[in-house]
Parts: sequence; structure tokens; C-alpha cells
Amino acid sequence: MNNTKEVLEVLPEGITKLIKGFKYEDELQEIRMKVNKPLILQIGNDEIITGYTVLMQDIKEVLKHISNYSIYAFDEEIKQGYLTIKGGHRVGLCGSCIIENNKVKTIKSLGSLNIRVCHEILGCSSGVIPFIVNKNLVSNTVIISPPRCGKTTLLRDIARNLSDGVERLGLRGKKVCVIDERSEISSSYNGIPQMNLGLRTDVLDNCPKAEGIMMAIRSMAPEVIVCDEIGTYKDMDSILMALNSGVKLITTIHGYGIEDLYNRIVFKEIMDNHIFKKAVILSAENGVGTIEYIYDFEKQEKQWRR
Amino acid sequence: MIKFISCFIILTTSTIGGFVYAESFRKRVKHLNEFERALTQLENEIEYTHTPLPEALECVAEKSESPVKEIFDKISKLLYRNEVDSVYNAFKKCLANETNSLNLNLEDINVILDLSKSLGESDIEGHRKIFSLVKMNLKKRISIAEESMNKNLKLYRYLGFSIGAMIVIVLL
Repeated sequence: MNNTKEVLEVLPEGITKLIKGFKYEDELQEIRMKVNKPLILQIGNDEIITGYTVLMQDIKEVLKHISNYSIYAFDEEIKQGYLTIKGGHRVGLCGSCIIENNKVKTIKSLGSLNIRVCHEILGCSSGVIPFIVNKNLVSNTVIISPPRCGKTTLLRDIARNLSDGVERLGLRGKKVCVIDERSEISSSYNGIPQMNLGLRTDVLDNCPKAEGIMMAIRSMAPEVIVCDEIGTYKDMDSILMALNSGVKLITTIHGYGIEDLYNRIVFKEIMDNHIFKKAVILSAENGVGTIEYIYDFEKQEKQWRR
Repeated sequence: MIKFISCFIILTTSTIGGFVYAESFRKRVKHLNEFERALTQLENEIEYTHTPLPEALECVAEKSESPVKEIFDKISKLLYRNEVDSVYNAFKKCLANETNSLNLNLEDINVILDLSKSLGESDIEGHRKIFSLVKMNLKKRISIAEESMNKNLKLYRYLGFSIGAMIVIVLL
């Protein structure tokens, strides 16, 4: 389900009118704006190059609207090159970066924006849930997927299912805590998740994973922790610590198969400890969100394949 | 009898006029103090919780007294609705609308407008600098306003009565 209303609100009037003119406005996926270049829309699977030339002023206007006239409030996010707006949509920013102490301090004179409309597909994890749940127990699962194959969407729906419980599988609702480092999973706005994450889900928004996992365990007593894109040593340390306290983990990594887990040195420790029980591998082969195979680490075999 | 009553009316009106005019000096100090307090709160909202401006201004408005309350409330609404192209314009518009209820002179208002020029356009560190500068300027304005209040408050009160008395004497 798409909700383009919030996106249209931040755009300059001219562009809003233009987009409303298209038939399949609801299937809007991306709006790409570059200064002095035509506006490009991604609607469904079609790329549409419009006749509208984006001006510097348009970009400035969008930036003011998305930041609520308050750059300081989104300082940390701008450093990472994106902002999350109401409705959970993501705005990517490009321009010249200001560097201080070898780190990006801010981005000035923005030259291009990419507004990605957020997707929530309720029920997309129904096929996966039986594999990662064993009666009332949740297995530690990693979703491996290249970018733009729906890994966050799947993760979000898994969180929702685990939190609400699945009656036909005998799964009772779990207390889920989502550590949402980049506001991708919950798409929180003012601390309120804009997505349906289920009845028993708590969200730590904008929180670094390593700290968030520890905070969640101490404060919310979760049964399952959900986080996106692990990949640093600090993440691994906190994951090991979390699992020692009996919490289950659902997470994702960028990659194309389980080899990525074995090959990358940063994952060595958690692979040695046999943390993950199941892996779900995604691709965009038959459209976004195609499940390639589900791997069982205990039996060392593919449990299911496309 | 009529003469007596009209003399009395002249005397009272001029006295009241003197008091009302004298009051404007006190109100200026009061409004400047209220602005100082409101800006400190705004600074805290920005520095501690990184609240975006429309929300931060709304919070400040809730805890402020009129007319600062109305001004901040209106600015916050303008920003929420994306009706202005900059924070400066929002401040300018709202302060211009409220000049009647605000007892501030042009220089006082400029100090506040100076703040709005850079509000929201830099990081937290930048805001800290701007706020300290503006608060320093505001303190100067307050001390000037207090000085003129001490000087003029009594003066105009007496002056109102004296002018009334003078007219009455001339008429008699």
C-alpha cells in the first residue's frame, strides 16, 4: 500500500500538480530531482522523464519543508545523507560534503534529491514465518539480500507477525523490540511508528544498534530483537551479549547468499558461535521480494528453494 | 456645578492619560523580559531535544504570557503550514501584526529579528552562538528599558496630573 499524500505535501506546487496528472499516482516509487535537469519519476516499473526542469529553488523549498525549517534537528541524519519524513518516506540528499576530522560534518549546496516512497506490504512474510518459527519458539534469523529487494519490508512484516502472533502456527505474540537505526523499519515520525509493527512492539528510533540492543534488553525485557543491516564489530559484540541473555534476534545483512556470512571477517565470531539458525535469501528475480532460498544452519542445507 | 464637574473630568482624564503613558515604559521592560525567558526556553528545546522549530515554538508559546504567547503561536502555525519561505519572514510578519499589543521599539524588535535570520539554518553549535549573542543584546535592551522606565515612570504620572491641573487653573 502506498501513501503518497505526505510526499506530495513537501513538494513545490508545480511538481505536485505534475505528479497528480499521472494516472498511476498510487504506484509512485521514486522522485528524483537534480538541479537544471528534468524531473524523473519512477512509477511502478516505468521510469518517466518529465518535461519539468528542476530549479535550485525547488530543491531549497523541498529541503525547508522536509526539515521543518530546522536543519539542526536533522543534523545527524543529514550527515548520513538522508532524512525520513512523515509517512516514513526517505529523502536522499546529494551535494558537496563538508568534512571535519575525516567525517562528513554536513552537506551543503544540495544538487540532487531522491524521494523514495515507502512501501508497507502487510502479509509479505506469511510464507517465511513457518520456517523461522518452531511451535512457539523463534529462531535467530538473518535476511540476506542485495539493496532494493525488499529486505526491510520483509523484516518489518516479520516483526509485525511475531508481535501479533500467528494462531495457525501456534505462535503466541512475542514482545518485540525494534532497534531502528535509520528510521527505516518503523518509519517513526516524532517517535510514533508510521508502520504497523504489531501489538507488542517497542521501537527505539534513530538509535545506534550496538547501544540500542543493550538499552532494549535492560529497559523493555523483549523476547525478540529486530534490527536492520548489522555489519560492525560493535554490532557483533552487542548481539553476542543479547543472545547470552536469551533474546532472539531477527536481522538483515547486505549480500547475495550465505557465503557472504562466511566470507566476511566481521561475521566470523557470530558464525563460530552458531548464532543464526535460519537465513532467508532475497533477490529481485521475479520482482522485488523474491525469496531465493531459506537455509537451515543446523542441518547445513537449503530448507526450501524457489 | 457644571464647571466643577468638567474641571474634575479634565483632571481625571489627564491623570489617567499620564498613568497609561507611563505604563508603556513598564510594559516594554515586561515584554523584553518575557522574550528573554521565551528565547531561553526555545534554546533549551533546540539544544537538548533537537525539536524542530514549529514544535519548539509551540511549546514555548504554551508556557509564555500574552502577547509573546500569541506571536510564537502564530509563527509556529505559519511554519507548520509551510506558508512562508523562511523563518525570518514568519517572525517579521507576526511581529508586524502584533505591534499594537507589543510595547517594543524598532531596535528591540530588530534584536529578535536578528535571531530569526539564522534560526534553523545551522547545527546546534551554531545555535548556541546565535542565542548567546542575541541574549546579550537583549540584556542590553532590557537595561536601557529599565533605565528609561525608572526615569520616566514617575515623571509622566506627575506630568499627567500637572497638565490637567494647569488646564483647570487656566479655565478657572
